[in-house]
Amino acid sequence: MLPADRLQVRIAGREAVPVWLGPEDHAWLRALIDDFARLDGRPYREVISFLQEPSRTASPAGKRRMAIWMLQHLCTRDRPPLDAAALRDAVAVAAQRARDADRFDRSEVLDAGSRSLGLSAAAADEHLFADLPGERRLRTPTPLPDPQALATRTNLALAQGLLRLAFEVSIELYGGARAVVRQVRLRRLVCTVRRKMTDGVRFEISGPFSLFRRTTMYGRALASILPLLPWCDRFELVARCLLRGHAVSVHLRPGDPIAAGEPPRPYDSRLEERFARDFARANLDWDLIREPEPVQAGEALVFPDFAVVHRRDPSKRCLLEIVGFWTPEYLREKLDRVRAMPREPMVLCIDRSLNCSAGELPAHARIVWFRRRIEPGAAMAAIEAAVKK
Amino acid sequence: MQLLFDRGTLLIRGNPAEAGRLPGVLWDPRIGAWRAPAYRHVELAKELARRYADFHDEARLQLPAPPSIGCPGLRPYQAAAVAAWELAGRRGIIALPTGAGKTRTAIAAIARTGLRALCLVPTRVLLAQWVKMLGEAGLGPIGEYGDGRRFEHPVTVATFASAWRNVETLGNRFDLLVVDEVHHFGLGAGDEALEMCTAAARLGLSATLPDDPIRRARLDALVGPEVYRASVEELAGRYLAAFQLVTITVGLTPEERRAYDAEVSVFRPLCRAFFDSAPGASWSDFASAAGKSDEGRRALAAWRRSRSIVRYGTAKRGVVHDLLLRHRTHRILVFAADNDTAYAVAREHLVQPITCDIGPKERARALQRFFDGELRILVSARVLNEGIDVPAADIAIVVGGSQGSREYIQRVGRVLRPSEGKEAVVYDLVTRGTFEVRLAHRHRRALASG
Repeated sequence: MLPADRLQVRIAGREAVPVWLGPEDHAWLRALIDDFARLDGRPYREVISFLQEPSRTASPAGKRRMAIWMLQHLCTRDRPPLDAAALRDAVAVAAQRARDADRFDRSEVLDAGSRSLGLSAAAADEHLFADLPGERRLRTPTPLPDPQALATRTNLALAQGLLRLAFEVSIELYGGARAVVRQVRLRRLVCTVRRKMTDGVRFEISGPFSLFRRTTMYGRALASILPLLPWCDRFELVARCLLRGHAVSVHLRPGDPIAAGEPPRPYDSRLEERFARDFARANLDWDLIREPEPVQAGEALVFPDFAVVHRRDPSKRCLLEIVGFWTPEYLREKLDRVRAMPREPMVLCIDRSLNCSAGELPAHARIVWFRRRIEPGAAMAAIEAAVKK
Repeated sequence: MQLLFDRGTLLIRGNPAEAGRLPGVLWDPRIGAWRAPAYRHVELAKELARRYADFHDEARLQLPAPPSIGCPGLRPYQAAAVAAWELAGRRGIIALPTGAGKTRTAIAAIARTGLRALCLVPTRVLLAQWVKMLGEAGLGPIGEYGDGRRFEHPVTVATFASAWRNVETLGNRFDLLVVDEVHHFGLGAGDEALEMCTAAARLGLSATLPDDPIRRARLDALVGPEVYRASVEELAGRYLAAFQLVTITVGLTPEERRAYDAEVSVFRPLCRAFFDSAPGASWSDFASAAGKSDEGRRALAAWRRSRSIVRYGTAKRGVVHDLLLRHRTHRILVFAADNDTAYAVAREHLVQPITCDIGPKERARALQRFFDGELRILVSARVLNEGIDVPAADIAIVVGGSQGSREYIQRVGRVLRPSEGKEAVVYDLVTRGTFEVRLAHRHRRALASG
């Protein structure tokens, strides 16, 4: 994500509008990519000095700084050809000895210092700082991105850089909400979910400490949600950010030219994935639905792990939750959530090692105990009993 | 009624009546519970215990205490500082000059209280230094958060950045918070590392506390008031080395002067015009405005080039050469304006650089060699400015570029660690007819008043 000092926005009232890179920028982006191709193999200090000079192709300065950051981020630096730290140490000690003996001569010292490492004085002089960031040589990625790819990747970095400064985020989401919920839980954010009048859901996401003041300490976690959004059917995001000391809103919408991240993982854990595969193989009468409709629990919406529906009689339906993760906070949170769910047929698969007592478990759920792997047969029996009940 | 720790905050379970009047407590509509920031723990727990007979404080964990050690021997002013801190209810800031033994004072505070302590330090170098000193004092094994390490012990040291990232889990595991270079806090950003800890006892350490009353008030709330202060003047000669400050004014060669004047003539008119039209604007306002036009970018490039001419010009090179020769039996620290200059000095004189680019192993080896006398010259840009215990250096050569007066004072402080009969010398190299003259006056004034 772009650092704060590179973010380009246009301020309109209390809104910060990201300055996206688009097709109108492709000409100078092409020239910049060509410049990077020329700089391949140069020491990094030369690269920096070259890029600090005004560019030969007219380009908007702020956008150019963002694109340069992105390209630098995609490049790597060569490893030095020798242990320069050991060389510096040997040379510095040799220099001190020469000073102590009142006969400091630079080339003699270099010769003495480098001899133990099997180098010539000239090679020692050349490689004395070869491991330092400014001396390491730039290596461009193969292939270098084209202007279109560079623009969308820079735009994603810009959007994430803005979210990095966010203290709270609201997202209206249509489809694919499960991945967002998973990410929110993984990053231990505080989230309330409400159903929209239409078929979407609305997330309000912040951190525990956000209640007391506008803190950007959850910004990195909030930014990690962004690459998931382009995989949803539709989304609208409003982030409240602290930008250069002012609170501003940033709106992100479908159609904004940002690159999608990696596709979200379809399952929360290997355990779930394995269960889904075993269950599908073990029977032909019931379908396991990975992302069922969220259910209302009090004022909030919760997202069950699975729903199980009979293929020929869809009225036969139950929810299935897996409790396989073991931190006490997670267990407490998960059981609180299950207890708040409506009293519809439910099967709860619980890892025996959690040592849950009967009093903690929701009374209306059928329990399947397991060790490491959920037996599909045991789950089937519980599902049928729950539906019959 | 229960008080729970929840990721840097406190949750009250049991919905007490009039909870909104409890210290720091707010209703959290997101989860339907009362919540308070962790640093209000002591007063909140006290108030809840007073009001409710069934109150259980589950926010603080019962964890093993550090090994019990005797209080290390202290100089009179260090003992007075620790006593003042204890009298202030184990909350407060001790302001001592560089080299006056702040770490030792903190070790004494940890030893006297016997509390689980989390020590926050600004850099990875200081992390290693604190771990070493705490271990040598017998408080080991020492936990570390930062520089790629993440493990906890009853006495743990964390960099500010790592503490900030991990405070949600570390926040209720310590009872004493020691904050080295505490002047870095009080700005809002980053203060969460202090706000999200339940530790009741707090000790701040600094050589240079900020003057800004708003920041001081924030530090008062998060760490405590200044409880003890000793100045360089009070300690110099007895507990700090006596020192001389020598300003060496150098010129530019005719070519350098021509080049410098040419660059300044590109940069200065634009700069003057900006500040005339926007009185009170800051340098970053100017840089941001200049970056928006080709003319502005050319001016900034000229400004950068003018600085690089002055940073380590021909005359400065000659003076550094002479000083290294003259003081070849002393331990010398050379302070450069930036890393590039530090490497230029290192390359020219084949001396060991200590910069942010130099890895911890190489740095530790170099400092050890400096301590043993195998190396007697180190060159640095910023890394040696703050807190690092550089053993027995007695000559400082400030080649250029202290960013502010605080940095300058800290650089001078590097050679003030006392030893028998020591008289330190600080050489300040200033280029005539350039911005360095103005900066040198400013630093001198700050040194006299600090």
